[in-house]
Amino acid sequence: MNSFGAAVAIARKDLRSELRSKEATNAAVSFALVILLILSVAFEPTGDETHAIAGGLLWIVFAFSGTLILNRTFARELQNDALEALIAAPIPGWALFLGKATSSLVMMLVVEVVSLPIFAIFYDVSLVWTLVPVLLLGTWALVVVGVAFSALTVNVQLREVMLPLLIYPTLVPALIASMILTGNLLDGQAFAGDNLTWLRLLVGFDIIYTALAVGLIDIVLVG
Amino acid sequence: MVEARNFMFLFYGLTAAWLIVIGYIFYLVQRDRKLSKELGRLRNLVGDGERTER
Amino acid sequence: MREKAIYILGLLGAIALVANMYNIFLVLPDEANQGAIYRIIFFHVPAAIIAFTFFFVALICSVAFLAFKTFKADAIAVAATEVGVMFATINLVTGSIWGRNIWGIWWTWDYRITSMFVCVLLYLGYLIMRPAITEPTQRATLAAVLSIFAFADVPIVWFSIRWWRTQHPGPVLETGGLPHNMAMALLYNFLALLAIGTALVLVRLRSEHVQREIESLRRLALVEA
Repeated sequence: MNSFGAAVAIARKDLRSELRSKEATNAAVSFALVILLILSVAFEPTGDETHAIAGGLLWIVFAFSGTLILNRTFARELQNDALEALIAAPIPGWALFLGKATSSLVMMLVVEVVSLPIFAIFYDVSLVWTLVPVLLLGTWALVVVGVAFSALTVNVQLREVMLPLLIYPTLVPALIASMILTGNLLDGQAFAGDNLTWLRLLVGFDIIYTALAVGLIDIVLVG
Repeated sequence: MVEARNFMFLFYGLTAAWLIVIGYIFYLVQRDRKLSKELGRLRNLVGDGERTER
Repeated sequence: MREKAIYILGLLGAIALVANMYNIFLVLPDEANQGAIYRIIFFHVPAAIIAFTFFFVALICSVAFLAFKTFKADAIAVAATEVGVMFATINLVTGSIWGRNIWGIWWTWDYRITSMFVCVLLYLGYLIMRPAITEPTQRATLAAVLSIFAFADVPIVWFSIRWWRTQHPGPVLETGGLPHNMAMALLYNFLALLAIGTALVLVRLRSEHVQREIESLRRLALVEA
C-alpha cells in the first residue's frame, strides 16, 4: 500500500468509526447549537449591529465546537494501544497526518453544514455560494493546526484544556481573515480588493501551517 | 498642569514595569528555594538508600 | 563561572540603567505634545525588542535540541521564553498605561500592542504546557515543536493584525522618528535591559539545572526503592 493509499485508508477508518458511533459529531453539533443560542442572547439576533458581526459570530461557533472534534482526533487512538500501532506501522508520518486531517475536515464540514442554515435562520442572513471557499480554507486552517496540536497534546495531562489554549492564539490570523471575509461576503461583497488580500492571507496561512505540520509530525509522534 | 499629570502616569508606568521585574525575581528566588529543599531531601533519601545497601 | 557571569552582567546592567535614568529624566527635554509620559518609550520599546530577541533565541535552541538532542539547549529555550514573556508583559503594561494617559482608554487595539498580546498568549501556552509533561525527553521534544510553531506564527500574527487595524483604524501609540539624542538613549537603555535580561536567563538556567538533577535523583530513588 503506497503512502497516499495509507492516508486515504486512515481517513476512511476514522470516518467509518465516526459514522457508526457519531460521538464527536453529535457532541459538536449540539455544542454549536448551544453556542448559537447563547450568542443570540448576548447579541440581539435581528439587530443591525449583529448583522455586522454575523461573520465573526459564525466562526466563533465553528472554532469552539470544532475543538470537540479535534480533541478526539488522536485521543480516539489511545484505547488498546492503537496509537502505538499507527506509529509503528510502515506509513510515513505525513500520510498519517493527512489522513487524520482529512477525516477531521469532513467531520467539521458536516457540523458546519448543519449549523449554517440554523445560523442563517436565527440571524436573518442570506447565505451565498461565495462562502464555500472561505469555509473550506478556514476550516482547513482549524483542522491543520488542531490535528497537529492534538498529536502534540495526546499524551499531555489536561489534554482537553491544553488543546484550546494552544490552538486559538495560533489561529488568530486565520480566524481574523475568515471572520472578516465571511462578514463581507454575507454583506454581498465579492472577492475583490481588500477581500482578495484576506483570501491570500488565509491561503498563505494554510500553506505555511500544512507544511510545518507535515514536516514536524514525525517528531511529535515518535519523539 | 498637564506636565504634572503626565509625570504621575510616567511614575505609574515605570513602577508597573519594575514591579513586574521584581515579581519575576521573587518567583525565581522562591523556585530556587523550593528546588534546593527538594534536592536536599532527595540526596538524603538516595544517600540513605546507598548506605543501607552495603 | 556562571555565578560570576550573572553578577557581572546584573551589575553592569544596573549601573547602565541608573546612568540612563539620569539622562532620561533630567537631561532630555519633554516632547511637545505628550509631555513627560513619552519617556516611557525608553522602556516600552526595548522591552519589545528584547522579548522577541529571547523568543528567537528560544527558537534556535529548540531547533538545536531537535537536531542534536542536547538538553542544555532545551534548558536555554525555556529560560529564554520565560524571560521573554516577562519583557513582553512589561511592554504590554507600559503601553497600556501610556495609552491610558494619552487617549484616556486602557486598551487601544493599536496593532502593535494587540499583536504583542497574541504573542504573549502563544508563549504562555508553551510555558503552561511544559509542566504538564513529566518525561523530560518528551517534554523537551514537544516543547521544541511548540516553540517552532509559535515563532512561525509571530510574523503572520503581526501582518494580519496590522491589516485588520488598517481597516478599522483607531488610536495609535505614536513612536515615530526620534531625534539623535533620544535614539541614543533608547539604544543605551536597550543594552542595559538586555544585560539584565541575560542575567535573569542565566539565573533561570541554573534553576532548570537543579530541576533536572532532581528528576534524575527521583528516578534513581524509584529504582532503589
